Amino acid sequence: MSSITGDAVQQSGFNALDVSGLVKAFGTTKAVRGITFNVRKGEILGLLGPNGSGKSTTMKLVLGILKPDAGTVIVYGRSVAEDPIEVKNEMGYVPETPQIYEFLSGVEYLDFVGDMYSMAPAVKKERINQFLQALDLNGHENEMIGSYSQGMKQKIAITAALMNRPKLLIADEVLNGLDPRSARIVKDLLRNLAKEGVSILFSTHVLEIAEAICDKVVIMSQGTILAEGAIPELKKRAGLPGSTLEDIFLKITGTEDLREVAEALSR
Amino acid sequence: MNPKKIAKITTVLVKSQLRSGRSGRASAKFFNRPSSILILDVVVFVLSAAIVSRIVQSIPNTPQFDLRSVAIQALVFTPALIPALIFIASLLFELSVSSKFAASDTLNWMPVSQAEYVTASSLSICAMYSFIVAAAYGVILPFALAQGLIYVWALAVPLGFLALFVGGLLVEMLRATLNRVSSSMLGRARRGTLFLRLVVSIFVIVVFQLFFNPLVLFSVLSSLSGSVSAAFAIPFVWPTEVLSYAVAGDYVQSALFGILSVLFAGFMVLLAVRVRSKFWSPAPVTVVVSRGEYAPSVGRLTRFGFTSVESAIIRKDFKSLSRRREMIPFLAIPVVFVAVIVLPQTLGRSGVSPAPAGVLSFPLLFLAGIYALIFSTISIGEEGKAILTLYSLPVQPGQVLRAKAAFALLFTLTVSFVLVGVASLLGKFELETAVESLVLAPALAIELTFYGLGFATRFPDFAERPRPRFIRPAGMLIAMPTGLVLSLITSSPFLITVLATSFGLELGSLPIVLVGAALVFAAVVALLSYRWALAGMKALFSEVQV
Repeated sequence: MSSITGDAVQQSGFNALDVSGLVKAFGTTKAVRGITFNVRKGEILGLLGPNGSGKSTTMKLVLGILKPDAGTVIVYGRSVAEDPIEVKNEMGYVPETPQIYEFLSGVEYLDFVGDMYSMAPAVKKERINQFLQALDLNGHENEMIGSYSQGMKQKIAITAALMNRPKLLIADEVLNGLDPRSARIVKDLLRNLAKEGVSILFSTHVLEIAEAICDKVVIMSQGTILAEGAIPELKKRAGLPGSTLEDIFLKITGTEDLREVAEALSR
Repeated sequence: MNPKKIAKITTVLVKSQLRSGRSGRASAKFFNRPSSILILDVVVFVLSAAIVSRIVQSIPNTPQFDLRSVAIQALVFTPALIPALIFIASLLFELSVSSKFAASDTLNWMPVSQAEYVTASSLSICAMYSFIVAAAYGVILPFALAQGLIYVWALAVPLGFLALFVGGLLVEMLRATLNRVSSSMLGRARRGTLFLRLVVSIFVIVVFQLFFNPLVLFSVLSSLSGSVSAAFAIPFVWPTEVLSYAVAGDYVQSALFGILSVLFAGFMVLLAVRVRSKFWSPAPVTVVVSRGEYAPSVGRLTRFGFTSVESAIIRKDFKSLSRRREMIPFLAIPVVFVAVIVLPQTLGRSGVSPAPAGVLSFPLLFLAGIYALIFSTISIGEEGKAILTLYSLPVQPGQVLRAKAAFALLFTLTVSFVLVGVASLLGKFELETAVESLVLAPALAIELTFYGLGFATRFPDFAERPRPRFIRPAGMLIAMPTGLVLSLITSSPFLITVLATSFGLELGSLPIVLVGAALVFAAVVALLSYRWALAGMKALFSEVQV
């Protein structure tokens, strides 16, 4: 992977995230094939695509927990490959499935994460209590995570990702398993964070959500970017001005004619 | 019971055990197939038979070394030892069922009867450990052939597999009992209950081990009855009786014990099914670990030079060890070691003089080292998929390694001191022997902890399956024999002293020189292992493994 150059730093001056020519293969399967995109400060970028399109792999590459075969990831001017620890200090990550220590209680896990960010005890306490209250986890915080529902685990993962006030949030299917009230809270939270200047790379299968909260979307399929831009702009380009994001998505990914499939399945 | 269903479940359970770690390599693909077990057994059998055959040919049959006696002893006692061996192995590899899988195991909600599941699960354990029987009877075959005991050998092989099945059933019973201990204590429990569960679980494991270990039972009954005829009262020794009478030419008695052995296996199936039916209650549990308001941790370990990151990982690992059901066997192992080795010795056998001090302490010293190796090899893989948390946070690989090493050392050093302390007290060691033990035991624990960490970083198994193993089989297969060799080298001064004392030889100051050399050796291995582990940790953290 090429290292960051002075020019690259200069170019990334305005961007929270610059992804350039990213390639990743697992054995013979090419998961990501040379994608390039960026996220500006305070922008919410929706990463959309069918299952297996390479969204989660892209997110892990951005986070630096997967090594790209080629390409660069620059976060606020720093190369993820060269300064992984510094970059992780600026980022929060909500994985697709919360992988958290189930033998800890919710509050113990968050305390642990706070220690990983070397947060001061008073700050830890304030932020943890704030999130527990906001996400309706109060009363369950001392229970072991193993007994939590999927939604509660997701709330803990979201809190863990946000408690250090990241500049860039990477949220992989962040609304998975959340009840409608919590989903609404998280959506509002994401919008507020963006207003405060936090940049968000956000993947989802629920296109209504993407349409509601994303400033820009990247539609991926088979490891490549099929379309990128603001939603109204994409509608215009697709020649479907009055349609929904779902119509554009289905048209772009070539899966629009689903009626026959549904009929075949119901026979 | 539906035999087809049993066969299918057995195959699935065996596949679950075999398919761990990375796939794609030719070797991995080979071991992914259940048929590989049969191939491996044949290879182990042929190899062990071939190697021992060469050795047997070179041994002169003298009055001091009676080959026939060796052959008979091996043939007769092997079936009695197999269940105990399986039981010890199960502590490491079979009882680590996580609560998550105990509650949501597919088989809990499928139309499978308790009897079908218990039989299939026991058979899968038999399949996984059949290599032990293959190796044992491969080793015995040349002796049997040389002494014209092939007919006894032919009779011993099915009895060995019967003993293996009984061992598997024992493991099933223990698994169900431990599950009941967990679920009955954790209805809606507090932190204190977690500790109680830990203590009761260890107690159950030790009681099972003592109650079903033929060696221990034999010692107890012998001490009570004052004669070796006590064997008749121990069903685990009935296969041994079958073979003893066959060797003596008393085929009626042999057949009688044969029938009894098969009936006992049947009884064990019924008992295991009964225990599982009664005790298996995979109810989801809610554990409240604290009632008070959240108070941020202050990281007292930082006073000892650890960073806040390292001390947080150490605290987290301590909670992992004391709260996770799958970790309980790793805490029970040292207690089982003490119980199994010390108890028969302290009870003594009628007419047999007490064992010399070294005979008692050497295995404990050795086991302390092996325990350090086992404990450290699982220390990375036990993170499970939650290792993703560490990957995504600003943590240096070196910090993780230091925390893991500190936690493992804290534990393995404690165990080594306790084991050697117990041995010194019960064995009434001479001062010199006690000092040697107390110096070499921690050295061995440190050496093997770092050595084990090297393997832990290179062969971690993060897969969360019904029976997690935390380290890939290839890693354990290399770590164990090489670790045994290192243990032998580091504890050799002690062994030499013990042997010399037994033969009445005067060694002068040689033991001090030997202990010094062993300490240097241990230090060098520990240092090299730490560097190797650090490189492994950096490689591990360069790319996510889950």
